[in-house]
Amino acid sequence: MIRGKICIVEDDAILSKVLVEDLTEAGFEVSSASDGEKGLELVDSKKPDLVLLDILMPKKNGLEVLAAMKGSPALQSIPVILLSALGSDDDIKRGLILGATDYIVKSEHAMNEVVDKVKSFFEKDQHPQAVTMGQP
Amino acid sequence: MHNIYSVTLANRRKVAENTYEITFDFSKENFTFRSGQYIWVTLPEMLFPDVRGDVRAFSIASSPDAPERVSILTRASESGYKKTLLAIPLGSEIKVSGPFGFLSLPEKNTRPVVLIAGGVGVAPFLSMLRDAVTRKSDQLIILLFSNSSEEWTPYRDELERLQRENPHITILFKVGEIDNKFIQEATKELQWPLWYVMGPEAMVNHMGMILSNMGVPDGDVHYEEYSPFFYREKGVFSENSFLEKGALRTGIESSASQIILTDPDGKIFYANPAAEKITGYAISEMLGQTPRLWGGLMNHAFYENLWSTIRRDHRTFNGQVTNRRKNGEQYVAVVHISPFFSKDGKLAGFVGTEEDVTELFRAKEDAMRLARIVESSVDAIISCDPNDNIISWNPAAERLFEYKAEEMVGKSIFMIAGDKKEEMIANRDRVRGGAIIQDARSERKRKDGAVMTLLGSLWPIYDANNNFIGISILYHDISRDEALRHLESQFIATASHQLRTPLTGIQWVVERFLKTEKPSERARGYLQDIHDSVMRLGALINTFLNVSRIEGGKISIIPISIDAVSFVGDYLKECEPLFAQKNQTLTFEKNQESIKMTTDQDAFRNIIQSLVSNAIEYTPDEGNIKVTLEEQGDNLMFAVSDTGIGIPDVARDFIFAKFFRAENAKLFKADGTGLGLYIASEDVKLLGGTITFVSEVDHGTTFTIIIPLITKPVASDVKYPLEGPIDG
Repeated sequence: MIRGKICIVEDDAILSKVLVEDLTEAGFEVSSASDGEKGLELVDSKKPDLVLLDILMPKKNGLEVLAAMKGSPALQSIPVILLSALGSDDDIKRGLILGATDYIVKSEHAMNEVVDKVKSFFEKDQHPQAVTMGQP
Repeated sequence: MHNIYSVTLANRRKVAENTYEITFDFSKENFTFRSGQYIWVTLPEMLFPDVRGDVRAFSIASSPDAPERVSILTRASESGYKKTLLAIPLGSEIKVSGPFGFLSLPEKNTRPVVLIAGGVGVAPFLSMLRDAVTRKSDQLIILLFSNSSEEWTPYRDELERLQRENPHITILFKVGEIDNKFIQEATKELQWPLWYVMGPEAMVNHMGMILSNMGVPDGDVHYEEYSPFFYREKGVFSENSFLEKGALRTGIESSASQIILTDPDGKIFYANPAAEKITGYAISEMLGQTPRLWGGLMNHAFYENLWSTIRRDHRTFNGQVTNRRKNGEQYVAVVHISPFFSKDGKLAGFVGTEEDVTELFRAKEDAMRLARIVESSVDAIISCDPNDNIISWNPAAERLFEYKAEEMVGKSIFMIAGDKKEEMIANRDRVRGGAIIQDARSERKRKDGAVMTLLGSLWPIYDANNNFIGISILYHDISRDEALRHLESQFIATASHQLRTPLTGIQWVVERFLKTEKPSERARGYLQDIHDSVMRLGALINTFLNVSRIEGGKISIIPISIDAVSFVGDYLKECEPLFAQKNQTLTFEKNQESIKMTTDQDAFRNIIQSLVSNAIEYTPDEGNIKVTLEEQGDNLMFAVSDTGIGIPDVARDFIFAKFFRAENAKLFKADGTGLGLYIASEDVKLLGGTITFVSEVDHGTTFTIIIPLITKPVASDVKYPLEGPIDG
């Protein structure tokens, strides 16, 4: 049973691979892109239920991708969870201001927790306007 | 004009206990003087020996309207001179020189006069008061007259009579020392008085100090200094008599310069006490030795030159020499060595003087060193005279302001003021008042008009007499510092980010491996070790990153609504394994079940994390840790108490400094960044709160923070390159 469609935009191949494997095993349909530009194209073609979006990336960074999505009528309602390398990051705050649904500090979470967070996202009301500031 | 007079001892009478008035008959001479002046009195023969010789100075106590009978005052003492003066028969012929001195009252004076006398120091004032009564002067005069006892107070009756006869005269007697309070009380009604002080040296010095402390200008206070030079010039006494009485010897013995006499071979046969003081050798050790005893440090050519000058050429040698005291310490001296000759013209020996100029020499060296420092300083150092004109402008100032020294010296310092002239004037006035200004951040204008941000320090310059003679200014260019700091924090931020990603990679791969590959128990243990190391490394990088963010001003405060009780409670729950590991007891006290606050949770978490993890780390096993949370009005109080190692007193002032670790902390736990409390205190500042602690070594520490329940948002000063709409 497919629980939902997820796009992962993450430039680190290893992190991306592990995330794809784990989420696929958990029953999601997962596709990935390795930079911001490709990511935006992927999101545009897949119209996923959730985007996991890294912030520091080549070509277009995550915040630019997010801003582009929020500026596009077709993509603006797709929820985005930011992936950040570090906590206490101003980029996270900017991302939340730009309309990201939540964020995950990669280094502070075990893989399981990331997957749990994604699962619980799908269990919650997914309406993009129901934005809560992130809790790690 | 002064002259030498032959007079006779006319009268001697006791005027108080131990105190005598001596009157000389000047009727055969044509002598005049002003009240306040003094004379030198040479005795015809000394009935009792006195190393100070046969001549002394005395102020005239009698009134100038009776110049044919001049009286002086003296106390009886053990000095040979005084004993002779009180013993020689009336009618003895005495040589007197005078009058000298400038202690007299000014002729046209509307200012009140305060006379302060101790003992027979009253003599010149007695003359003044007698004169004032005779002339019916309307000069306002107060005499403050101190003596050690009633019995020792001379002329009490006469002074009281003078006071009655002239209503402008007031006399206050004092038994014992005149003090500040007495003077203040006696003179409080007086407007801007002139002051005259006479008495024993110690008393005069003491009065000088009191008056100076009262703010009386030096020029308004008059003393007398008996000067022997007038006397000597006039040849009142023969050089010989002076010598015989030991005055020359006394002079040499009390000289601060070292004086030694040697025979033609350089063997010392006389050395004065200053020689002992300077060289450290006792006179007995020096006698028979040559000055090589403390010399010999200079090169061969120096001594060659010295000996050929004094022995061959019979000239005086002058030079600066480095010698060594008995205790091994070297000193710098200016020496003069001259040959002296017997009556038949043969070389009889050498007289050498040494003056210890080590201090002076060092001061000169210091001044030169200082000059080199100023020259080579990277900070602009400028000095100005009291009229704000530039006196010096160092090379760094030339580079910073792009004006050459020759363009600026003599010009007004306000040339670099830009629009900060008013601020500069205010600073200048503060410094004139004695203040020192340190590292004040401001802006100054460069030659091309560019405005630079600088840290300025200003301090007053005084001459040796403590007169204000100008201002020194140091400007430190901080644009370079700021650029460097920015680079540094950017580097740390980038490095931390870059390091973080592969670490997360290791962490997640390890987790995946454990989940999918079913490793053996041993392999599982190794993987767990890898995982733990990665987590520790990650925490360390987080700490560094936090510092770089604080330094770079990159932190923005975005307050959101949280419940402090559950926020802190959740964190403490996460720490449970750590408490358990050390068998520590945790208590969590709160005065409410829920405390709503609006704060930046990243900053708040950093604070809690730093204080709680420190408490765990620096408290020995089995210790107690108490976390307290209280809503206090508009503030939240969060405190962490432990029974740990404590903070030593010497570390108190540095405990929040970056990278600082107290000595006992280093001993207790070798690793540690010294950044936790720094980050916590900076975060408390960002939240608009305060952090304090009380601590006792080996007993424990309590850190308390108070932060507002509602924190205002603060935007970071970093601009983000974003296009497109931002709505939040």
